[in-house]
Amino acid sequence: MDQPQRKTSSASPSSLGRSALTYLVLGVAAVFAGIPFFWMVTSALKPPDEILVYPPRWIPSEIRWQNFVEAWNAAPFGVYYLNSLAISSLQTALEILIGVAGAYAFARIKVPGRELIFALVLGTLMIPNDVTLIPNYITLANLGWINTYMGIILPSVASAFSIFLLRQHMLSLPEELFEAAKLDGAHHGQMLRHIAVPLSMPVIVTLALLNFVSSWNAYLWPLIVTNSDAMRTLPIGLKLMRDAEQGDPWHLLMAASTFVVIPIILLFLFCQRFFVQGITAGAVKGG
Amino acid sequence: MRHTDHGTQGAARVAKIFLALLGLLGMAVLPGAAMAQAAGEKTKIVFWRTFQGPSARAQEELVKRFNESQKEVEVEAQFQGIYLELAQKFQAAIAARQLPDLITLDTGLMEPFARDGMLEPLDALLDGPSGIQRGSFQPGMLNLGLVRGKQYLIPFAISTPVLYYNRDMFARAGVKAPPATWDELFSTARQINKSLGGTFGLTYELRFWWWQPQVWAQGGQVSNARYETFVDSPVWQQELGKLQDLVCREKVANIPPRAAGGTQGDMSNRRAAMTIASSAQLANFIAQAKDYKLGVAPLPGGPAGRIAPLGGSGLVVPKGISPKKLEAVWKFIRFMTSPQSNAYFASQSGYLPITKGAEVAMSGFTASNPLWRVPINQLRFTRNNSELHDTREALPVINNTLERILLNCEDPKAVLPQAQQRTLDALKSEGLR
Amino acid sequence: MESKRGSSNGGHPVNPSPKPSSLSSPKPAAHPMSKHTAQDNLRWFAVLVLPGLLLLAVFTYWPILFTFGVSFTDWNMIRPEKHLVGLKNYQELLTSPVFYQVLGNTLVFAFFTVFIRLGLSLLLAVLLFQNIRFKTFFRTIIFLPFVTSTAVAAIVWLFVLDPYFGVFKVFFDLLGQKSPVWVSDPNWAMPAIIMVAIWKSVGFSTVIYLAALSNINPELQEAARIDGASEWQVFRRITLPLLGPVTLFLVITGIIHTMQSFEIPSIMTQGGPLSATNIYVLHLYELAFQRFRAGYASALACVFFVIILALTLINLHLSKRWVHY
Repeated sequence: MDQPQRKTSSASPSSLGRSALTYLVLGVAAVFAGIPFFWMVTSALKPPDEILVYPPRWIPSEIRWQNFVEAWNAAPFGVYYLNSLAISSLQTALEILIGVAGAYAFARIKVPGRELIFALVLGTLMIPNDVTLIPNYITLANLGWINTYMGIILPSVASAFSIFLLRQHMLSLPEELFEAAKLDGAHHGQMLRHIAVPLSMPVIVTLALLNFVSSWNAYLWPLIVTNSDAMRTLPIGLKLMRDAEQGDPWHLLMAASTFVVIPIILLFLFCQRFFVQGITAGAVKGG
Repeated sequence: MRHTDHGTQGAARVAKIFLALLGLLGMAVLPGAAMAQAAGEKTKIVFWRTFQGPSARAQEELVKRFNESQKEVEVEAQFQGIYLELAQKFQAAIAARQLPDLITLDTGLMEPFARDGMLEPLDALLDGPSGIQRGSFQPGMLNLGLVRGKQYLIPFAISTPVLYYNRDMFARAGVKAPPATWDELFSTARQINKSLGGTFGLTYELRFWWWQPQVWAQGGQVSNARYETFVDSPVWQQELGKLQDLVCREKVANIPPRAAGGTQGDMSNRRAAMTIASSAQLANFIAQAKDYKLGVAPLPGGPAGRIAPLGGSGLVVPKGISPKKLEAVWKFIRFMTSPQSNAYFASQSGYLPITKGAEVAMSGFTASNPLWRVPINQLRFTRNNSELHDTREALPVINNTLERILLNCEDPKAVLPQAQQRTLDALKSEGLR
Repeated sequence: MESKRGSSNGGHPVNPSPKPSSLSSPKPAAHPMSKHTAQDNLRWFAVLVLPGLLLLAVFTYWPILFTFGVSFTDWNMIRPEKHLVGLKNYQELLTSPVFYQVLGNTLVFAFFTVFIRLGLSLLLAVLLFQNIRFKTFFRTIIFLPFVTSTAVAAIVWLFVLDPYFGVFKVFFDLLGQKSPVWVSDPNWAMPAIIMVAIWKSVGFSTVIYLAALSNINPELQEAARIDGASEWQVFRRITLPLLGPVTLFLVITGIIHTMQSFEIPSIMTQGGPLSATNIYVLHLYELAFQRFRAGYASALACVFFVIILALTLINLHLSKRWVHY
């Protein structure tokens, strides 16, 4: 795609300069994007007395795996891990379930008032999350769900964004498939299961990944709604590890940060295609 | 026809699956609830704690010792972050009516809760048959938990600010003794900065807690019982002017970024020769003074003498817990404030022995660790925090004022009169005036 | 746009294979789809939509009503009773200098974050769209921050920006400049959190721009080149206008999101120093959960809703001038 130089006579020097510039800019961007990760991982492996030195030690003099052990033991990170895993999985599963069901209904079932209801759902995209903070806390308190998985999960399970994205996709599925199924006497449940879901699988996978990531990274709500280690998630555990009194134990914080982000980064690296596809599907259609 | 029925059934089935799933998820809630009841014959107490580092370890050890010492009460300590975060959690818990049984609360943050009637007065227990003699507490201690004549907080982790200094730097700069007054502190800082080229004489954290004693030492006032405030008084102007000269113009004192380890980082990296910090940091300072010889001195004074504030946290009980729990909680409070427990906690951290008995119990320790004697001796000249210290709306105004003058280097003459007005407005909005 | 549809099906080219098993037995009698089918539809619709709708009602619609109601009271979350105070909260808000400072901070934060990010991601997308080596590597690393937990990012950045030991100090030393103290300096704290916010999300918009670029029919650009247009003219006159809708999407969602930021300033600056980074949600949180003013905080929340709505409408309106579908 980079050969539109046909017109310009002196192609090589200018295109050479341009591609050098391209690599330079991308290189700077990559360094900017990557430096916190690099710094996090090297610091996580340094002996404590190489942390607060200047000029900084780029590579630790010895690799100290012990930091990870100490960080892991500094707080019940095993419990946090299980909580994060369980909460993210449950939340993702529920959100997809509700999303697929809602999307199918809005895309494929004609009932009077459907557009109005859909507008009501979409409207929630405009509502700042924090408007719901206090009331939701109180609702959950009345239900007795403060400091429970349900309390963490439930408020964000019905996502207008998921419903919207899936609906857009289901609208684009060929009409003939559904017509044919109808003629064969299939009801909506069957069409949902056998046509809409299989054909939406890529979008579903993408959404599931995005939901999982955002649930794994969620901070404010779990912070408010949990108050015992038995229910806390990884980001909250990490935050509580900071020490205002003695100064932050950076080598341990960086080690803990590393094991908080690693599952997500691996997930992303292995499923990159789905992430990218889903995001673009949402945006390009959303536009 | 047939497929219509079929469809309806399908719809019903999907609905059932949804309900079943919700039910299943509901089970996720149950373990917590079940656990709460399974405690059986022991009375279980949920205790919301704070602290990190040595103080946290000492506190956990005490909880463990208590649980092993008897069979009736089981205390479960749950960490909730720093003082401020803990207070937020407590507020949310009140709104949710899901309260813990015992909380460590900062003495300043406690007062608004007490005024709103959210805490259990403890006078009856304190003076009751299994009480604690009021006279056994160190002077000033019980006052910290007193709101409108009632005792809502039993002091536990109480400290006082002291002067930490680098003995090596003092020796090299030819400073014989630690400064005894604030003015001496400033001139010592200049002397060190001059003779040790570039080293900060003082590293200073902006905190109202030790701003008050600087005003008091000059005979000035901060606020009074009628919530009149003296923010625009000449003493404030004069003293803030001195600090500002040191920080903004002469660069003799440093206000370090909090992120970079704060004043303690400046000390342990030998960027500065002196700092003021809570005695609760004593164990930390000793642990981190690897590259220099640490000195500890009493808080400086002035024409009006040496006056030091007390502060920290104590144990409070939320309003409305059952008599049975209250009894259990009190048992734990008595354990925590007993001379042995408290002496252990104090000698692990740097917090003060809250009772005379605890001071005696740790006398062997202080004899061989003389630095610990400095804050304890300071108990002889303490004064209650000013009324402003224990407010929700006015304290942020004062903190902001200190920041504007010392961080932003704005003119105290211009800032303070406005600040006085804003402080009064804040007190009014809090219903204190 | 058309090509997009095919590709979003990914590995599944539209094939009609998955069909109900009952296909084999033809039923011509299934035709009368009049009122029974309508009733059927209604049932299905209800079953599929109600769970989501119910949750939205409880956790989104009710909170709005609740917040709106509470905004007219002096409730402090602890006291059970709420006293009606009429418009007092709104009155206080509109006359409070802090409110305007916070709103200003929020707008500055959102504006700079969104527009710098927009320019940067467009540049990166255009560069990545060329036929270059290590394309996947560059795209991956630029996108990586987006999946990273914001809490982790904020903590790590705090360390990177440490004025004594941080990595960034090295760059300033190389340039012979004194490193700012970043989050501890009232003038640098805002740029610092804007930088982190951009770092966190620039990959997202880059990927979106990349997709939009691949949706542009290359013949359009080619035709312009044949007509003698320079590369810059092609970009300015053909490519850029075609990216209009996507840009609008990025601006609108970007503003809605960044206006609501909380974690980065909450962890890195707590709104300070000197309230330089005190942005809306932080202020709201502080009022509700530290200063016990749930009533006032609710008024703040309602005003916020209106502001975001207004900004979105303004964007949509302005976009008529520059977005061509």
